[in-house]
Amino acid sequence: MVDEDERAIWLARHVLPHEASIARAIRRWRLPDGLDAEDIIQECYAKLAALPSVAHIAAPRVYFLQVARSVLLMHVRRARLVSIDVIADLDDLAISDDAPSPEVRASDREQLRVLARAVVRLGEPHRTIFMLRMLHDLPHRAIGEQVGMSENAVQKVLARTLQ
Amino acid sequence: MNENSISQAAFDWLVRVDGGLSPAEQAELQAWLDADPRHYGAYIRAKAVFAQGRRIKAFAHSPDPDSWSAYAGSDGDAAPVEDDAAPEAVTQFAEMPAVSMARRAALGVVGSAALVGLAVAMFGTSQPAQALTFQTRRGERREIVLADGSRVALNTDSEMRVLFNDRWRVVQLLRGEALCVVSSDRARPFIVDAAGFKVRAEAASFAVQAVQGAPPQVIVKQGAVDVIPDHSTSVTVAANTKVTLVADSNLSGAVLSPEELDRELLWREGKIAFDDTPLRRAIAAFDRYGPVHIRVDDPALLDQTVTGVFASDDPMGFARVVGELFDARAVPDGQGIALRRSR
Repeated sequence: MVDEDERAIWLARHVLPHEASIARAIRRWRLPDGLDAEDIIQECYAKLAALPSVAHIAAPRVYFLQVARSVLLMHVRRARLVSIDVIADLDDLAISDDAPSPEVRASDREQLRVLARAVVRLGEPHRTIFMLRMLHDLPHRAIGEQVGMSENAVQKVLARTLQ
Repeated sequence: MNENSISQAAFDWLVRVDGGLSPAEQAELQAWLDADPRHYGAYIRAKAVFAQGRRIKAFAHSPDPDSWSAYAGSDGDAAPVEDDAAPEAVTQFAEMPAVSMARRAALGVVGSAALVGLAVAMFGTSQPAQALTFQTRRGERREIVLADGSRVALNTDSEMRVLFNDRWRVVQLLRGEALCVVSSDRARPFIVDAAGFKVRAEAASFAVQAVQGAPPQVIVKQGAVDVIPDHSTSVTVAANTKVTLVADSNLSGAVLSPEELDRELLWREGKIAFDDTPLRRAIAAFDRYGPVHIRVDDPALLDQTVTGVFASDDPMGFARVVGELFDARAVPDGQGIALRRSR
């Protein structure tokens, strides 16, 4: 059984930082009507979460794009009307996967710096609530008492902050 | 991703799970997850964002975000507690405006209108890729692996920006010293952009120094590079050569012996080499590596020359050697070191 929390941490470190670049790559593909890049990305996350192991994935961005390609193919095959354009386009996918993208390697420390910047930019009460939950480990109810909000309102703020 | 309703629902569920679910709610969540593979994917993604947010614990020693501006901003580099492991993740960053301004603006608007979602801020899908900045403080050195496999060693008190696209690999050296080991990519030349000149390479190993108070220089260790002064024609520089940019884009070159080349690049091992170097210049060299300044009471001493290899983080050790050479005494003096001539 896959440990969901552990997998989420792996995804946070190895996939999330590539997400913008992955989404751009997928948007360059010709997608069938009714299917957008966000749909594909969500399905890919589900597939990556279900893998028995991720230890073999050396290049997460490329791997993610390969999964995305298979998701797209599946949708194309399932669709009744298959556009010739889409099929023709799929043949080129392997090439566009390898297209150079403006990426640079960064240490964990750079990722952390980006996180810090994002937190510094948060408005209130979002920042306080985020800090109380993430850094101080306070439960939602206690956070609500501290900032004068209901538990429910705290949850709403936290959800929007993360999103 | 951010305005997607599935994504929104996933974040709502995640936070409710974080707060604890009743068995009935648990069943409701399970039904939602099973309804569509995208639901589970979005939920896992939300978990990943949450996990990334937890890394803010690295700041447990300094829990007030208002005190982070030096670190989060572009010119500070207060180290976080978290591991400073070898570069590993390939990362792309969204544009980040100046922190203090954004913060002030955010404070002016209370409530949800002031919200900048973390996932959007960190992994926003619409913004163009932005340059990454790397810097070292005085006394610090850093090895950086770039996406193309090229390596850059950054010496003390240096700053560089990396701007790669599908046509160029540009590294701006804003100050300091960098040794670049460039991996071959004929389609994308590697360019170091320093004040007054550029260095262009396809596959080579070379060091660029742009330090205040000294003329900029390029040392080629392997391969060949083109040195392109801003106001002059380009010159191809072969291995084992040092080129110095003297007044107004004039280049002066010198062939280095293997020993000389090694000595020029000893900083990578935390050492400084002097070869018949006037003491005033040797002291200036130590000043690049740390705040401990060596003061000399006898100006005549400053013109004496020193030779040898010294640890760049041990100015006292260096001062003692100088003292023995020139009949002076090295003593701690406030924050610095005093070198006093024996009388």
